[in-house]
Amino acid sequence: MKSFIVTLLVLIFLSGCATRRKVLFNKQTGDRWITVDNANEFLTEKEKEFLKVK
Amino acid sequence: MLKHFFKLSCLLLFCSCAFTPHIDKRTYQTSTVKNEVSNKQSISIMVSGDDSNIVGYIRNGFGTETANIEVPQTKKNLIQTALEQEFTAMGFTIDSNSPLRFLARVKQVEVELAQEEGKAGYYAICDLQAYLKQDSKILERNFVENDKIDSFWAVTATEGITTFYKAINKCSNLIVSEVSKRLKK
Repeated sequence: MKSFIVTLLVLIFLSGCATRRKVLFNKQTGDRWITVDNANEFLTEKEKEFLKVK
Repeated sequence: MLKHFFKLSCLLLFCSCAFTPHIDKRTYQTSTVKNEVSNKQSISIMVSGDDSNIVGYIRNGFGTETANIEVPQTKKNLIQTALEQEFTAMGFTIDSNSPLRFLARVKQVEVELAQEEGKAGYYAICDLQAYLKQDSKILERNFVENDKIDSFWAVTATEGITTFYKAINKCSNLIVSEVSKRLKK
């Protein structure tokens, strides 16, 4: 029983640095610049102030 | 009793790497290739969004976050530094009063552990929503670049951060190149 618990603990601890996570990044850069018609909808106050949007 | 204590200590030591935050002290380094714009222009740059300096996490085999991966600057300041350096390398002058204004909003800038086809490693992504004010028009575009490192052997968080900076470098260079092309039209 003792050796079983020890083996189990060893297995759990040794998995500490392992990774099992698959990450897919499928995003792509937009193919062109788009004119923003209504900037008020998309920008925060600080952003509007910086871009000098009325 | 001492034997059990010794065994427990060894087990804790084996997993200590997973619970220690990785704090990388390197900062963004500009690319060495310099190109000149034909008409030297001034530009004002602002970055908004994520203000954290945690760029990733060390995870255990169950996907649980066990420790942070951190860089010296916050993501916002890091992107600001990267863009200013790359625009300057391209021949622009950074001037907060310039009528030409560039805003980048941080959407996703991080490095993530990944495993694929028997290899383990890191994926880094730099996803920015960009706004360019030229004359009285505001133009919008999304810029995304990524980089990865993987190996059948162990890949450290240090190599993950190198990958992270490469993704930011690629994204900044792409932004500067596309802004320059736009201004020539």
